[in-house]
Amino acid sequence: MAEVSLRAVSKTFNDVQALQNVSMEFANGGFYALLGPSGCGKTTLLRLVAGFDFPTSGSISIAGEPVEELGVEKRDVGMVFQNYALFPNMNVAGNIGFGLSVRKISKIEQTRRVGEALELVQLKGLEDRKPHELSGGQRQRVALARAIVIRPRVLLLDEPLSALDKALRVEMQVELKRIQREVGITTIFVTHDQEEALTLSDRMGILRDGVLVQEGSPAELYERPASAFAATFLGDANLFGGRVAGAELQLECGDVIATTHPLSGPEATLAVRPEKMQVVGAIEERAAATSRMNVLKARVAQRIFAGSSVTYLLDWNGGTIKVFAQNSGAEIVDPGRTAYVMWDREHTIPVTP
Amino acid sequence: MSLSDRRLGVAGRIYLALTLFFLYTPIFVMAAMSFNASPFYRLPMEWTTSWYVKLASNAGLIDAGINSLLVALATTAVSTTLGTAAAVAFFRHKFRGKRILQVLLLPPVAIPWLIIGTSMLVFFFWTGVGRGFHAMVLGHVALALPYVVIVVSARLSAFDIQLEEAARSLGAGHWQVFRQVTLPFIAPGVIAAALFAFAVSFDQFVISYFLAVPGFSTLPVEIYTAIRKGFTPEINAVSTIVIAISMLLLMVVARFYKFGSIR
Repeated sequence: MAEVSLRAVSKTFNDVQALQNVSMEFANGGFYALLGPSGCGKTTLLRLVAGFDFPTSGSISIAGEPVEELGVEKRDVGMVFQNYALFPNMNVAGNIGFGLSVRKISKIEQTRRVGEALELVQLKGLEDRKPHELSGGQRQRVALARAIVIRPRVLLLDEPLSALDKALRVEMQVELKRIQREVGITTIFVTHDQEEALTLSDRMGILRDGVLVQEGSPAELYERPASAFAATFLGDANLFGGRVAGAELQLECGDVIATTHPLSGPEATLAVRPEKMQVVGAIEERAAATSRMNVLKARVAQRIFAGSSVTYLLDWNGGTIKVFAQNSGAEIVDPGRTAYVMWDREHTIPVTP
Repeated sequence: MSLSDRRLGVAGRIYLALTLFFLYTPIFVMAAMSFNASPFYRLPMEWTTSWYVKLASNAGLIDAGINSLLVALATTAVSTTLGTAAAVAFFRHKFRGKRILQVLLLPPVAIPWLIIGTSMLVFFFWTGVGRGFHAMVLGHVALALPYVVIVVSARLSAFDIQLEEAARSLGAGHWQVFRQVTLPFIAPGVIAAALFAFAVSFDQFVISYFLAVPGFSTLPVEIYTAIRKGFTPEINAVSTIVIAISMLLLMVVARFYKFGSIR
């Protein structure tokens, strides 16, 4: 059963529509990432689930119980804020135990559960430190422990890793995933970092201008983006627009691209991930024509060598194509030379423009 | 360049010295004369504490002193509570007329006390509030309130509203959030504001003079009355005590509240 569900939720702030008719289900124990550019409404959605704000229309329920009338303090949600929001006047144990003392849980039980939480986030021995005596990563762990220790029905994370530097962020991603799995708590995670969303979540949703654009597993979203926006926001994509002719797309420049996916409408847009393509210096034209490959003739405009991979920017009749190639020992084509860009027709995904 | 710097430094030092001299010398002279045996300020000084002994048996001044303390304590309690609540409301909420209310807080600081006193007297008479202890507390609270709101608001401006949200998400009600999260943070500001309120009330003369009734007046009013009758070093003694208390309070304020900065 869905732990959290939103039905036709809209939110308007002084004439600005922050969310439009969003319906979503968050599965019990799942790790759900909400991804989108800033101002897309993802934080608004999180605050509506938390109970800091209330929907203008639509309904929200947690564990089957409608909550849109309940304030945040009655919803049993754990929230981790972007800047952690640790209470500066309390030490680590006081911060983590705050939710328990507010719930009037016995002192002995409090100490036990705070100890458990500290162990979970691996901060044993730092009970008496004040927040300003902790490193960024440690603060992050305290914030997480404080939210989890009350055993909330949902854990809400608002860009919790964005204040950390790169190395620490990767470490905390692993930690976050481990802790979430250990506790088995339904988690909703807001981020603008696509890599973070892809690595952490088992389901994700992409928001744009207050509208849920697409949702699915990270692999589904990445391999089968439904729109040009989803294709370019999550990862990189080459887009081709043209007229539909059977299973092929007739481009304006005269080239033809084929796809194994059904095409509809007089016009269509196709998206191809740069890493699905390869660049070769020479090609046997007849072999290509009979294979399942699409081939475009182009000229290497720029080649960016990054050790393990090579990024090509190629000029072609219809514009520019970007290709990520693994440095697998295959030929590396020099800038200025004519080359062929090849990719499997199956990796040619129809998207809405 | 270093020369002009030094000249500026010298000029500045002279300026500072003169300021301090004219500010504090009269006070030191008065304090010294309260220990001088001669009632006519005759030098050399002849050490005595007799004026303080005499003061101790002056029931009028002692009563007035106690009244002053009571009014100041009541004013402090009421204005600190109301002012802090107002500052928190200003900080937390957006509402119609908020700007106007905030602006309206300032004029009482700038309007001459004589005018405020007169209008209060007229108003209290007209509404039947009358004069005496309750009227005086009312008047002093009105005077002290803006100081409290301004001082507490300054401290609140450094407060992260997300701390309140975090506390609420952990299940704390509004009162628990205030008691355990907001108040500990703004406490230095609240203490400073309370001391300001106390000082405003304790040092208040004009409004107290208007609102005093026979049988109930405060120290500044009694001192003024005594001076009109004829000056005695007893007044020096009581003034010295008042100044000592006021300065002590302000030093405590400075301990909790760095002027001109947030923390």
